[in-house]
Amino acid sequence: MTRIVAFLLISSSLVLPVAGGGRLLAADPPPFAPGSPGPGEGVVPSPLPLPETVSRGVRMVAIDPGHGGKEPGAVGKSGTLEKDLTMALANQAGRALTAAGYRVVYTREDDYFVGLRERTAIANAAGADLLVSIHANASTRADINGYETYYVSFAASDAEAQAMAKKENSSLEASRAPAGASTVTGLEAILWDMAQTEFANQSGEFAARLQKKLFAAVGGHSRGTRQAPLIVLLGARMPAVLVEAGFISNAEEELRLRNQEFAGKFARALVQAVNEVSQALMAGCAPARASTGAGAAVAAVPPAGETAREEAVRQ
Amino acid sequence: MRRRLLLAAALAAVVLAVLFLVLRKGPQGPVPGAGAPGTVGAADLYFADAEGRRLVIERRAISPGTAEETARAVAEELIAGPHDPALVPTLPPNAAVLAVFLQGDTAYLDFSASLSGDHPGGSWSEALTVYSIVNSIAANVPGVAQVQILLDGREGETLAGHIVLDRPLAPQMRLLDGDF
Repeated sequence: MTRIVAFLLISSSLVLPVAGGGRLLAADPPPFAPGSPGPGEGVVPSPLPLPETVSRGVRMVAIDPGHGGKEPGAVGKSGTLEKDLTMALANQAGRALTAAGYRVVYTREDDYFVGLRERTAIANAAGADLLVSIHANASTRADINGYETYYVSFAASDAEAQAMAKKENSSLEASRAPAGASTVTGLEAILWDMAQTEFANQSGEFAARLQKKLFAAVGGHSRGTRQAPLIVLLGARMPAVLVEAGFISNAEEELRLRNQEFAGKFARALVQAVNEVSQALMAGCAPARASTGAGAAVAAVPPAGETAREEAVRQ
Repeated sequence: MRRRLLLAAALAAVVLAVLFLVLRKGPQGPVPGAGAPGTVGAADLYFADAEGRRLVIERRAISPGTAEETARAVAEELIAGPHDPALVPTLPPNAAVLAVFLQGDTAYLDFSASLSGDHPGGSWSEALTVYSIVNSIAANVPGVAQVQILLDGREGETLAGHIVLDRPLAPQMRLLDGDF
């Protein structure tokens, strides 16, 4: 019920084309990224999408607290649920980012289920410049520990892309799709899955900076950065990473992940990494987010078949 | 007496001939678990290393059979876990193979829902589970280029909330180096 109300409120005020509880913590007037010149120094923030040729820093960060609702994620030996840890870490990180002058959008605000592609769609629709998905790791071996940051450098093979398109098409044909729509949906599915490839380098750099800042802040065992076909990152129209903050299956790290001091260090490390990425983007790299182009329009929402499937799962 | 000597000589000759054949064939004959992948009776199985960082191969003997029987045998060996105690299982021990079928170059492996429900979770653990199955099937079943994992007869979005599972997946051999 809360989610329906949140959806109605958001739909009427911000016109986000997604269901779910995407929450915008909008500072007013729009903030500047730390390190950027202020209004008195000749640069006026524009609410309009900037041309792709103009580099800009990070203004808004989407935070994705992993799992939620019926999906607890990994469970620690002491009964700690991953979904609770990720929410706590996300809240702390969001507060720190807001205090540092960034706008923050959450993909979920409380303990409820949100589909993976819907999470990405919330970040896309809000126009976030970066996406950080927060998770806790697990293993069958209790001694395995450490934290690691992922990014996507996964291009579906031709066979996989064809299989995906074929599946999307057949699922639509089996439902109430109008004639001719199935081909578009197959294309949408592929574009959705390919969205992150445009940002592979920036995502990799973001992951490396975050991992480095985490090591400086909390020490311990850094497992480095990794690449994997993570669904929540695939359709993101912005640099996107997923951080596994520690192993909930390791007794010591389970306790650490629940520790407020750790959450504070984690949040500060994230702010520092975002600051660095923002400065790097403004120093002349490509814009953080492609604000124009047909691909952006197509990939702003998940493929129709997917939304329908996720709706069905929720019911 | 002479007849006895002849009989003893014949027996000795037979024993020597048998010994010769056994010794000659021994090193070249089929040794359980030592055949090449894709050949009858041996399979390369992908498990996780002790640190849970990458996939490593354990070669072992499996019963010969059709492609579908081989795929099922490989999946069941994965569930049984590694023989080497230094390696880490990638599938929950109580998971079960419900059905196996091939269509074109795609193998469909239907597992019981415990493959997902009893998974410890975590992005990398999930990646290792998914690709231990995909790599092992593609490496050992002739003609298979990709693998679709099903859960209780249905496509799942993911196994534990992270890695794509809603389509046939091609093997990722770079996981042997700990990366995609």
